[in-house]
Amino acid sequence: MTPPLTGLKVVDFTRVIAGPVASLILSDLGAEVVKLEHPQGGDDTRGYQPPTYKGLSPAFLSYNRGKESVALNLAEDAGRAAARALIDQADVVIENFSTGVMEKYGLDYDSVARPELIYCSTSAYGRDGPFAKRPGYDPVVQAESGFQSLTGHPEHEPVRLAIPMTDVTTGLNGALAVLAALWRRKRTGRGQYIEAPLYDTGASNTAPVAVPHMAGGPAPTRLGNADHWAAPADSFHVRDSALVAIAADSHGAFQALMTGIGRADLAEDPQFATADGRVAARAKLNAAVAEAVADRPAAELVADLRARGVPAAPVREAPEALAAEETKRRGLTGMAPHPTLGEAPDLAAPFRLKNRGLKPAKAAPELGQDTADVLRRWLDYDDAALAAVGAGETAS
Amino acid sequence: MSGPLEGLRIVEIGEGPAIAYAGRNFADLGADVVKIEPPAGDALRRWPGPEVLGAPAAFHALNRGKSSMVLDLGDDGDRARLALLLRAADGVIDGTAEGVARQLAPAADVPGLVVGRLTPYGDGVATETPVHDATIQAESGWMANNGRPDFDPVRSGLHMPSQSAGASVVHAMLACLTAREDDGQGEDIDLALYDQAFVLCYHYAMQFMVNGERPKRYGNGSPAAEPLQVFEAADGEFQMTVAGDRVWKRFVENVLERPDLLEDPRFAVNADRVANREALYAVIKPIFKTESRDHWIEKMRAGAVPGGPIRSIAEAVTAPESVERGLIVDAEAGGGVPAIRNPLRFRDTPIADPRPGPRLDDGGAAMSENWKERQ
Repeated sequence: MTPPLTGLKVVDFTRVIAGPVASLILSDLGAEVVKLEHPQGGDDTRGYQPPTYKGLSPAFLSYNRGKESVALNLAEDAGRAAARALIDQADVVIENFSTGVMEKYGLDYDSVARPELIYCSTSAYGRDGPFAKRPGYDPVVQAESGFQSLTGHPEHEPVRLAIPMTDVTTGLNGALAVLAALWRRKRTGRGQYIEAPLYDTGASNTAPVAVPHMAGGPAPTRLGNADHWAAPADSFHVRDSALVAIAADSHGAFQALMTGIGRADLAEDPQFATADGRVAARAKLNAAVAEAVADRPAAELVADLRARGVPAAPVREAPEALAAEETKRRGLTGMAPHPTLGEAPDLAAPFRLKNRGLKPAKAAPELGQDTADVLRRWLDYDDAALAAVGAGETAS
Repeated sequence: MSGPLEGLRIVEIGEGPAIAYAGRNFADLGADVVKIEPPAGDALRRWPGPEVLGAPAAFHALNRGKSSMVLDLGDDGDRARLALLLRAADGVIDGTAEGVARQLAPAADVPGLVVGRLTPYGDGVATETPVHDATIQAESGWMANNGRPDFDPVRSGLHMPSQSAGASVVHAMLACLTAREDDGQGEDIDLALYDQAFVLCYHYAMQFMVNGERPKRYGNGSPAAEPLQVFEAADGEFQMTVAGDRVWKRFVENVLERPDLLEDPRFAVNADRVANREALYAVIKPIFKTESRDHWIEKMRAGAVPGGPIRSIAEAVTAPESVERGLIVDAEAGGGVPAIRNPLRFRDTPIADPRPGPRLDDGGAAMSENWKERQ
């Protein structure tokens, strides 16, 4: 099997999470992703520890599988020259430095542009305009984009999603931008400069609630584990304090749920025939479900509701989720080959391709492990040239 | 030019936000998207909230720029129409339990078609199980990462696994559509909403794989960096992210103006600050309470320390960043429906202003005729 992006050369200047998510997707789909890292310490996520797997941080392992690590110091002439030469061989460049850093190194799009090059900046607030130089971090953008205001229990403060979802969605968007530009390039032969800003992604994520508000609806806020569009929907404490999520997301599911919990009176009430009617009575309907399911065993309740056509599921934490049948039957966790440790823990890609397949599993790289190999293969560097970028002693 | 995907022909079949998001990603970037709807219309047409142009505003947010074609997939004539449409399409997003796209366009007959199956548990797996984004958040373990340590886990108020799955399936489809330009071969892509939610746990899942310890929740804090939290100023809340020792130095020197803290061994490096979180907060929280939120945010921005106000949606859609970046599109500019612009920028193939979602059965037939003529 030959993954669809086989042969695509990506030079990846990104660090931390947003940019690495974008290049992770390209790597899973078969691209050769050369991750450029500072020789001292490399990507910040290498330091996100404890815990470690034999010294490797879980964050670095999670966002960098399948990539190659090339250690270059961009503050030195030889390192910069090597980076520039790699760009000149690349199909795609991705970077998420602060605005101005790539210019400082002479590696910005206008300095390195070729007609066929695709160059993606996953910036913070965009590369132009009055906010271009503001640093961007996921927790800050979750706060100021309004995204965070939609999560949390109403009686508590808004809560940030622990998974850095504005970073992650910026990475997803960055990969969309690169892949769309690749498709265009295949048709026209031309690449281009593209941007996937963090703030813009955070704001865009809120569209399903922000647009109704902009259209005259009430100001949305956080609903705990209830849902903006479905009611009843919440997480409910059942027997043994277990927590079960239930969401009646249509009139049919609503009627099935209410009938199933012995509240046929509510099921047939015409005021609940529309989603607007059900959502307006969210508190009352959720309370009716909470009362009816409080002593039901979780597994029995979930099975019963599902058989009735009502979405329901146990709330699992990591140990239960990793052991779950849904996870095991799809092989979502495993071990991947690692160059020095033999193997390291690995997560699956979200998609599978029946015919072309994905890049074979390979754990995230050690810092600089591929410097000599990549510079020889891509640039025909000899030992002296490798020594000039500090790769002489690690050359294999 | 209306975006990088101008000329790409996509069919969208299936219900729910993940499918709608997938089609929207194609439509936003310039592809022709024909949304197949049952005679009663897509379920999103029955979502709550204010209506604009005959559909809920949320429907437009997830279906903007598409064309609509009503087909009854139980009717032989309509199935034949869909089969013809699939022969004129480049790709199809198929969220149906039975996999209608490959039923009507088998790989042997239509080898170049790129089929993106987006289903709850995978192609052909547990197809009878009803799901909602909230139940997937729950059972995948994703939801349990969020919330206070002393309280129930809290889900994302937005349907983030669905939104993410709607991006991931498009990633795979675009990669295969690009490869197809060289070899003419289509693909069968299998993406499960459950799998997407599970892998979205990223380093939280990986941490458990590494140490076998039940992960804790940290609310607005972080197990990995300090100080990183929602803090209270004299008049409101703000988020501040001090992730790493360089930022810490800037924070104590430029924001708190307490350079003496650099000498405090309890706070020397990030790991020390994580270990001595309570002592750290005992020092900084009273200082924050002495000044306004704006004061601290100005100091943080001037001092290159990431931080920002906790904004409501009502505040965010009028915030200077949102307006200045051109993200807020009023009804007039959006063809009758307000919108938040797609965040992506393409220098040479800029994407068009957002357009409304389609009226039921509007535009799809004309678009499909155009496709057949171009075949």
